[in-house]
Amino acid sequence: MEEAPIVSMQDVRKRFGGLDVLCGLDLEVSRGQKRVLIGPSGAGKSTVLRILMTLEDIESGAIRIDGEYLWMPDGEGKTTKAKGEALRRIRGKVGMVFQHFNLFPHMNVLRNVCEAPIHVLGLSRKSVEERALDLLDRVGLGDKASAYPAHLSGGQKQRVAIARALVMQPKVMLFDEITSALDPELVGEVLGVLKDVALKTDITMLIVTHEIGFAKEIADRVAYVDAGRILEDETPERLLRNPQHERTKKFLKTVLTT
Amino acid sequence: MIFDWRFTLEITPMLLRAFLVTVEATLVGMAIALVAGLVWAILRRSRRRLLTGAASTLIEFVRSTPLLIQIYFIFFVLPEFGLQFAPLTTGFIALGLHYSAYTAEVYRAGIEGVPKGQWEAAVALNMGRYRMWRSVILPQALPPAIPALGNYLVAMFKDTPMLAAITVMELLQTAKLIGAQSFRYLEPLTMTGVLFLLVSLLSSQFIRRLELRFAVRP
Ligand SMILES: Nc1ncnc2c1ncn2[C@@H]1O[C@H](COP(=O)(O)OP(=O)(O)OP(=O)(O)O)[C@@H](O)[C@H]1O
Ligand SMILES: [Mg+2]
Repeated sequence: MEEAPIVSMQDVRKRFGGLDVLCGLDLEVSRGQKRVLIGPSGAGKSTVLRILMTLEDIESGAIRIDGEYLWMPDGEGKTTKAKGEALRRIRGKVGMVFQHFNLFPHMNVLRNVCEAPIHVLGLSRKSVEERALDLLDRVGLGDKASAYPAHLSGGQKQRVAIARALVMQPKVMLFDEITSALDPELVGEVLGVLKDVALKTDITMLIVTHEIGFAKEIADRVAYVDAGRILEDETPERLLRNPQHERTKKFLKTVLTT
Repeated sequence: MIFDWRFTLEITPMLLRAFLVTVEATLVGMAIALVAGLVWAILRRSRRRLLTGAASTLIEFVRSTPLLIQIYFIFFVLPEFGLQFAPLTTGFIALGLHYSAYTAEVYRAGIEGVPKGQWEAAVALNMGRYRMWRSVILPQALPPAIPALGNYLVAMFKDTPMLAAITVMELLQTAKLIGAQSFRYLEPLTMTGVLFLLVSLLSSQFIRRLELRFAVRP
């Protein structure tokens, strides 16, 4: 028997005002998979991640994470969101790294990483700090534990943000264009860390990126999102070498030449 | 009429005692305003319409009626509904409630100044509402609000003479009483003015320091 997918979205519709942003999107991600989402601006990639992070609501459809309904349809076109305990439990399985880092500016690096595990997971400060320092070492920031975000480069901030998400031990990690706000010379260090996480952990990863080369290196599958739907969903080799749709071809041409 | 220093010295202890009442009313009133205002501001961000509506209505109502009416209302009308307070307690409540409507607005500006990404990061880290406010939002929303809150402290201090209307023996009321009994108004009223001036000047200095300390964020 095949294992159930850890993330499953079925026929998900999302509107912003009068705009249909997701138009019946289906997505299944199996456990441990590294899935990359690519697609043109406005396609709905961020929206997919934000919905999974419970930051946005949907109009209709079903969403399950690790077997639990985040959005459960009632069979009559309506869908309801998990509440209370269930919502917190589901949210606890997901972590996210944002394009603009969103570090807490009033906390130093160590506290940025430790605040949630101490107060949300209720772990002892000592054990959390130990683990946090380990993680900071792993992302190459062992010496920055007491620095404040304002004194870090963009690349360093983003690596702290990755450590902050990892320390919560989520089953699914979402990465939304985490190198787009960085100066070009800082992109490499962040992708390096991301690759390290991808190769050395069994965390399921959903990565939105415009770094096609990087996608090819670490992705198990790449989904091409266009106008609120997944148009193609393939291994990176096949999608890049032999795209089926005109729109995919056009998109790949633009990102590969720039 | 010349300024009688001996008389001034004679009435000073009485004025100082009254001054303490004024300070007490200001400090307790401000404590109430700081806490209640924060509660209103947070309620306004609630997802429950009823709570948001109630908080907004309260703020609007308090801001659109004079403090004196609110003082009278609490002192003369509430007892008819079985809620009776001593004059000074009425003063605490009236000043606190009145200024809470203004501190709520100050807090609101501070809260709205916290970027959306901060709320989202808190959600992504699975923080509950209490933890989010406590660890992420308030530490960023409060420091920029401090100078404006300081200004309301001074404003409240200058509003304390209104409590005379419900027989609180604060500074101005005491000065007036001394005047009425001795037929000398010059000294008590001058001293009263000087005391208010001193405190206001010192507070302005203090607030300027606060502004330097908090207004610019790192
Ligand atoms: N809060 C919002 N209010 C209104 N419209 C929104 C909102 N968020 C997103 N949209 C719209 O939804 C559509 C999809 O947005 P989304 O951010 O998911 O795209 P994207 O694929 O991530 O694009 P990009 O590559 O530019 O980040 C866009 O047209 C966008 O303008
Ligand atoms: Mg996006």
